[in-house]
Amino acid sequence: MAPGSPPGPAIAAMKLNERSLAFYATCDAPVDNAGFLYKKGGRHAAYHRRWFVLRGNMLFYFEDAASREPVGVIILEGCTVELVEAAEEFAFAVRFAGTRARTYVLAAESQAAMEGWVKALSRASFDYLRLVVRELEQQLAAVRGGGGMALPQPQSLPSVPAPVPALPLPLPRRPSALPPKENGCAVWSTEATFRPGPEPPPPPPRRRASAPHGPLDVAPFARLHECYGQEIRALRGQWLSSRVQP
Amino acid sequence: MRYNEKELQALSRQPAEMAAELGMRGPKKGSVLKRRLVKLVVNFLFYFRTDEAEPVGALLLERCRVIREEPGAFSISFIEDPERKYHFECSSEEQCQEWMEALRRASYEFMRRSLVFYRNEIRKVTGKVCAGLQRAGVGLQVAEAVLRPWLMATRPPHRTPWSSSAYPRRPGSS
Repeated sequence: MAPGSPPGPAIAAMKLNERSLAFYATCDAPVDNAGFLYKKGGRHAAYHRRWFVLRGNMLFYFEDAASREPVGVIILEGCTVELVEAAEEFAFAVRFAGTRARTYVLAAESQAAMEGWVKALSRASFDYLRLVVRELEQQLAAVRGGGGMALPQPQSLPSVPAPVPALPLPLPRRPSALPPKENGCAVWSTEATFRPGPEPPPPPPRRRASAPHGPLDVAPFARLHECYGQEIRALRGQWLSSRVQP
Repeated sequence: MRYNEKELQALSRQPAEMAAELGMRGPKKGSVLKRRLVKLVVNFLFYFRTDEAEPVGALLLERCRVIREEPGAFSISFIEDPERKYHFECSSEEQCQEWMEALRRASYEFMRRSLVFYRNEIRKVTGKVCAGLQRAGVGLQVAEAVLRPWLMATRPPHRTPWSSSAYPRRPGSS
């Protein structure tokens, strides 16, 4: 819990299943990124070199690569990742919204490592993964549903900005706003032998609230969905009319 | 273990997949059943005293097991210690079933498996679509022209730090 919290009438620190969290940190589930990073202790503190492991939306950090238990974890839901001007080379920041929210300043040991981390961290949220899965679910329904109709052509889609927050680096603009979550060392993305069992997994849980919420802007996704819909309708029309034999 | 408690508290205020007042009993021996507002947000289960805005606690739902207990009740335990159970009591069988299903799907690891599953299914179907269009008498040229961007996008990517836009990238394509 929160170390050094004052005694007395202070509100008790929030409980968390830390033991399970520690096990999750060191288990054999897929790792999305790992490596040494320098972490700034506080606003005016020094950098500490720590072994970082990104798994899902949890960024764990250890004393070193052989440690059994993490020193701590940064829960990444709702964060943005930015490059920062810092004395330290290859520095970037994990920033959270809200007053008194902490910004974690981290520094990698090379340009490539920094880029890898920024990419991995900006796609690490559960929210983002859920969007991607829903997108795929709808594509599958579209491809199956219309009697074998073709998929929309990506070139004709308007350029939709990626949900990844703006970085000073020149990120190429892609037609798709939802690039797949992948990383050079992510084990799961190369998984070819998926055995779904007798049934496919049930669809991802649906949000009850329909309004956009949190820092993740869902507008590009909604617009993308509409564009797909239009494209599918147009292509379906073409395909149906091409089937009509005189 | 240190963690960013403020951000976790902020997360507990986000719109939830599921929220209800349930009976909850902690894993310690002799724990008493208490009424809690239980809220599922991404892969966390938050629980609040019914009249408070800040959560009493949170459970990260990775590597957990959701088991039916007596009728209308279920428990959550974690793989490394299956006897240590968080016990929940619902107001109906239906509510119990709903919660169990939602909790089983509420992990990042489950989402990953869904991603792989849908990706594979789409690949399978796009293969069939090509053949289907041919059989339907649509010209091979038309089929190829319509499907080429999709087929190109499912090739393995270049391994560069930043992917180039040489191939049109589709969501979920590898």
